[in-house]
Amino acid sequence: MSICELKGVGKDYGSGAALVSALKSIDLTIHAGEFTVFMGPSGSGKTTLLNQVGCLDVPTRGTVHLEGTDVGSLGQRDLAQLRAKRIGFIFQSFNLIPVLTAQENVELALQLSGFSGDMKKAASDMLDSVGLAEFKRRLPNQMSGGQQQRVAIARALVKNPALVIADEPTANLDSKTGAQILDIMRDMNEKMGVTFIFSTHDPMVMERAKRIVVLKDGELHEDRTQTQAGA
Amino acid sequence: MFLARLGFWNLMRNKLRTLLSVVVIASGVFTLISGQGMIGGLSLNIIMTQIQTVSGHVALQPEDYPKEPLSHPVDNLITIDADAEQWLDTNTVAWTKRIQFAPEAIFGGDGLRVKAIGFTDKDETVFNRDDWDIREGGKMPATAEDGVLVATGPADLLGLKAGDDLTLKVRTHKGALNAMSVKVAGVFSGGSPIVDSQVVMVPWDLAQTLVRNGDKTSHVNILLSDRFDMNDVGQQLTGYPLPIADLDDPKRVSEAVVNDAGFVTWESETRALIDIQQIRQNALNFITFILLMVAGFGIANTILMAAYERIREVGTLRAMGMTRDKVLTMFVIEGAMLGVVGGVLGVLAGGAMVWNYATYGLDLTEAIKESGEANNNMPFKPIIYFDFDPSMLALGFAFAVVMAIVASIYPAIVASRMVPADAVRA
Repeated sequence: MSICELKGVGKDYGSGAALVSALKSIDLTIHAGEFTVFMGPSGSGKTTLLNQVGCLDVPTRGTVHLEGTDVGSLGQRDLAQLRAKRIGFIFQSFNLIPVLTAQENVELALQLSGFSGDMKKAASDMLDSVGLAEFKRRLPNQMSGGQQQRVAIARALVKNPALVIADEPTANLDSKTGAQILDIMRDMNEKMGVTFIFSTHDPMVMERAKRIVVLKDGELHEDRTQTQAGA
Repeated sequence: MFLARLGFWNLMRNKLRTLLSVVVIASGVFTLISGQGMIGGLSLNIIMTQIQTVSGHVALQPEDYPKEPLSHPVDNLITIDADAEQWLDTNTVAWTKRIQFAPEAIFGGDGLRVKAIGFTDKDETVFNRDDWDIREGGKMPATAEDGVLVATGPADLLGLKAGDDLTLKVRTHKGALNAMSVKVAGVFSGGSPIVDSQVVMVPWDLAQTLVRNGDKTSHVNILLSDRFDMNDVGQQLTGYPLPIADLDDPKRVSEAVVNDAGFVTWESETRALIDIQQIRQNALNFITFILLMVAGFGIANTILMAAYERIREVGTLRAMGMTRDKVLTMFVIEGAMLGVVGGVLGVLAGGAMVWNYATYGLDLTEAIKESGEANNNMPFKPIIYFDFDPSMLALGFAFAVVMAIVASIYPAIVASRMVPADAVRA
């Protein structure tokens, strides 16, 4: 089952002589349960593509369908609703809200998604599952980078999204911590069936990926599946 | 609720900046409340002193009576007949006759022009004597035998004390010179420079002997149940004839008249001073407006800086599904919180100060002494009781909150329009 389908997606910046096509014409389908990596050199269009898939930006041309919904037909409010309910984000710099505790950061995602159950329990359980049972009351600046990224993972997953977008999630972590973080995400992918899409240069991420999409100069250069992912 | 909590913690991030914004807002509200309380209290002081000490609500006096201090001619006096007295008894709370004249008070070779007030036994029903302080050894005179009561100003200048014999030299109603030696019954302070600086209180029968005015008088002072009826009553009394409801004989109606009288009121006599007060109030309002504008720009700056400092956070919140409206609301709430806290502090500080001076008064006695004779002809008492008006507290608070909300709208719009794709990686 496809989660996300891109057809002829292009993204231009600027105009006239200063026009830059960050994405030219991408056709790509992401299936449920995939652990996909977007890779490529700087300026290849990884982040731009990730923004399209994550509904943070709209394409200049082409269409993006998320779970069958044409994203281009949605207004700002509906796009925000879609992101709140169906997409989780994990960022390179963790992007936790610094005035909120780990527990509150996770609860915030539930609050925005309109979660109707016991938010405290759901957030607490998710933090337990990423190994942060002892750190729930800590503010981001009272935690290590690895712990903050675990909070970010919990925040992305707690609302049970269809898709998690992870933009270079290990770039600010040492290799050991990065590996732990990737293992957690891979574990969640396998246990919960959550679809992950990464953008990265990190070989550790590529080792664990089931599918690797290589971009070059805004075009899809290579799209391959790894049978021994995680080896 | 969640946005409010988030707003609160965001404000607590930069405590010094938040504190400064709050202090500026509180200063504006404090200035508004305390200034309005003081000016309102001073205006009320002027009005009440005019009523209780100088004129009552309405004062009948000869037409074209001069306004100059210590110029109290007695050549043109008014007559109030029995029917008019009856009308006054029926239609007013209280009234009394006063004859004002300007004798030369002579004692020990020194002479001084004073303002003499010939008063009747009904005087205290119109004029409040609660603040009067008759110095030790003195008493309130009732008749010519008791003598006169001299205010502290002339008493100090002439060196008078109770029991002294004072010579009063006057022009009579007909213009002849007259002089009498009278006993000083006491020395008093009336609690107001306009009394203390110049007044000698003379019992009615003694005044009649000095001025030879018979039953005529220079003033009829009247208290009403509603002070704002002053012009209606003044016009009726100086019209012709007076409407006397209980008279059956039409001929008597035509006799009910106060002859050749004009009238002044507490309002006409204080208008110039109140107008000055109004100018002061407008100036204060302008200063307050400037202060609150400064506070507004401070808030706008605070929120705008907060928005730019938190671009990545705003982007993250937008990525997580927060709508533009909620981002805008979050920043407006932060501004409103600054307004609420600043407003509450300003109201508490300003309210406490105004309440304190409304209860215990602000004593300007020394300041008035230092200003010399400048205040001697102004009707006010040196202890100013501020006007504690709860609606002004509410207005100050509301003004602070509304101003803070308005000031935070622009930065909130800036924050809400950030592009999430760019903002998350800022």
